[in-house]
Amino acid sequence: MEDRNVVKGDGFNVESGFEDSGPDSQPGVDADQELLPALYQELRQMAVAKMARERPQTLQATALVHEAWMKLDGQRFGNRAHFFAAASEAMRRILVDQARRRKRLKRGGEFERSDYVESRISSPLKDDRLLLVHEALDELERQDARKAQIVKLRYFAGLENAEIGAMLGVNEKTVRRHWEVAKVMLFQLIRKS
Amino acid sequence: MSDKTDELFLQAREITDPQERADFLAQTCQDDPDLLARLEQLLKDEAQARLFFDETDDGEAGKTVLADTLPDDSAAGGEREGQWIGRYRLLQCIGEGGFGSVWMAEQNEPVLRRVAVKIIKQGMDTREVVARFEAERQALSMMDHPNIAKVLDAGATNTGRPYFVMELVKGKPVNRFCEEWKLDMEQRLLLFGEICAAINHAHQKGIIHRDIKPSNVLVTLHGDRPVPMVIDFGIAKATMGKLTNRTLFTRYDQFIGTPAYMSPEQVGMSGLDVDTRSDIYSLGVMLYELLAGSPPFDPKTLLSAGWEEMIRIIREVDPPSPSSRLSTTADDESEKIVARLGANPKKLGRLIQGELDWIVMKALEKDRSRRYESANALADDIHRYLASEPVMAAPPSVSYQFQKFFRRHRLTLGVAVMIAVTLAVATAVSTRAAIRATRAEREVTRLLDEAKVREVELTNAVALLKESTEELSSHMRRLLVGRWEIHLKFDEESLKKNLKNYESSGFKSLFTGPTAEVSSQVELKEDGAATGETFPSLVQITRFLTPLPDKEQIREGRWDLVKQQGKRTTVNISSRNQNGFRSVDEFTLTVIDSGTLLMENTAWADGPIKPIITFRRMR
Repeated sequence: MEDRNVVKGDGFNVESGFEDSGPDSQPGVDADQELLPALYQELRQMAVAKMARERPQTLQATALVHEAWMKLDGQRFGNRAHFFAAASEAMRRILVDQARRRKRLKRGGEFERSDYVESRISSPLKDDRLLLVHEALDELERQDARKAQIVKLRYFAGLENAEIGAMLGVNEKTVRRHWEVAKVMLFQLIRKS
Repeated sequence: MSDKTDELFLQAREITDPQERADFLAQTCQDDPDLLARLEQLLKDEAQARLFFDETDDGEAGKTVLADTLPDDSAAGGEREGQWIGRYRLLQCIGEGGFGSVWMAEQNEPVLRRVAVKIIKQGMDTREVVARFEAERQALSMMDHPNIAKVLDAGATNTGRPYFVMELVKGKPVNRFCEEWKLDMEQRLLLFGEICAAINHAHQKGIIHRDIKPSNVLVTLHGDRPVPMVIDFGIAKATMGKLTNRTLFTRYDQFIGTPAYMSPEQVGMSGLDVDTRSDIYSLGVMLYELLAGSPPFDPKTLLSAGWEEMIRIIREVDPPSPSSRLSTTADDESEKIVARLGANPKKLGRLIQGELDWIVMKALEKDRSRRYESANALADDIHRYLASEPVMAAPPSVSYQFQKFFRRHRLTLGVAVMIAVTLAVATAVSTRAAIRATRAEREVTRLLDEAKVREVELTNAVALLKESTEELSSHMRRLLVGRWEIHLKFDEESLKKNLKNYESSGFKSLFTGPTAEVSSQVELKEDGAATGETFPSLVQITRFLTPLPDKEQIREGRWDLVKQQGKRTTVNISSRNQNGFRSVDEFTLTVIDSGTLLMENTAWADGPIKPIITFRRMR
């Protein structure tokens, strides 16, 4: 636990504090807290570089994660499961930051400097919904860590059900079934909040 | 959640019959009312959850589902049914687009009536918009035409967004109406004539619409007669202001959604103020679309072309006439067009060809002074066409076409003319050119001579540097390592002069060409060994001049760097014949550049026959 706190305070400039993940019920697939800041930076830098180089309309969040995997393969992040768990969490934070910033701008904070590049990463969900899902996800993690994990890998790392299954050591069908239930649970949590 | 709940939920949701499903749940949760409640809630929420997470619906469904969960400034715009905006109570959202949303609303003061409220989305200076509208208000109130929907009011919502209140018009955009009711061409033209009349009325009152497009011309059926209603008069002016720069354009783009109906002077920055003839152009685009099934420039292409290119297209590109657009319709597009126009494109094309083409193209002239001078003039021409009278619009004259052609191809024509002139001049001076050629030849000969002199000078310079030597460095050795092509060149004249038996000596046969030259390849190694299949021939040549005691063929050699000074290095090349007889020759290497070495047989430097040996590094 101490390590996590150190990491959080160690220049990891996310706009708001994040709750620590729930209990480590999925050893080996849980996002490694130490990797997070590094990946967060890496993904942002890749987005910046890509924007400058190719000038696309938007960047696909999930494509970015996959590209990061190709680029960093085995360098620092160990195995695939390990990497994607961390990357999905990092991407979640990037997208949430981005959505919050955009929302603030909408509210009239026009004079705030906005990070042009970052706000062009296209998210799997619209800002408002992304933030709602983001908040509910922590609660879902407490209730059912595996489902939360699947949601993150699907949404923020863009993995296919089969890939997620291989990573968690279950078959594709199980992943799909978890996802079906997770959707309803998340929706209920969102409505409750 | 337990796996059991998951399992039961997933099973239950497969059962479509409600009664069956209830039975299944009752049976499985007999003694667990909590589980039953949980499952029922899950099943109940499932449809909504799916909508919430489904990305394919562009968020619309999710918005409705969570309308009350979402914060006020969400994408939905924050307005809700039942909400009051000024004196108007919103009843139902009847349209949404890039500009904002349109609501059916109720007004109870001073009269109870239904109106349409158009709420412009955030991003515009509300005060400015409302002020511009107020300025136009007097003029707008003068308009009184059965085919124009009146704009009644404007203001700002409490979230600070501008809104406009209009007469409520129920109808379909004119292009969709024509399509759905399968109006034939005559009916389309008559309907269009009425639209022109309405626009003409506004023009007479001094109001320019500025945003004429099918979605602003709604058509309803009165009995069996289609009646067009032009909406949004005054709104474009209020929201757009002057289109003088890019920022405003972005705004415009947001508001309108497509520049396909904009006139060249509207997109241009020519400083020309937009006048009624801009509306004539937009009417022309609409007529084009009603006849050919699509506007002259594809809206998607325009939007994706980028700002400069879009302006260029609208201002410079002449679209194909409606009939040629129809006749060039691709087969796979054809079906869509048939659905839109209710007729075969090829057949329709033949019908339109000629007068209708001229009418449309006259309205679409880039130069506004060449367009119809009024909407009525356009309508009149259409009525003339329908009455089989000669129309005002005429096919472009040859001289006009030539002018257009010239304008379009200014650059190409310019180049063509230049070439023609050049040719003529060239013929005239060709005699003089012949004389010049002779002169040039002489000049080349002179330069060649000079080059030869330089070569000699170089050789001399090498000879001068010969005396001074220095310690050899490993650097030089490394520099020499590699594969080299050795090129020997003898001064044939001096050979002939100095070797009495030159012709019969066999020496000549060593040379590859007519001149006394020979090439061979050698590889110099770090350890000083020199190998190469033709290397011996080099040694053989040198031996020929100072014959070895044994004339047997030499197989290999060794080179040793002896001394170095500046760019010059002394090298010993030793060769060995089959009997082990060893002979050593001293050469001087001069580095001309990293790829070229000049080699000199030091021993003969003062002799009568001096070969010029060049080493060229091979890659």
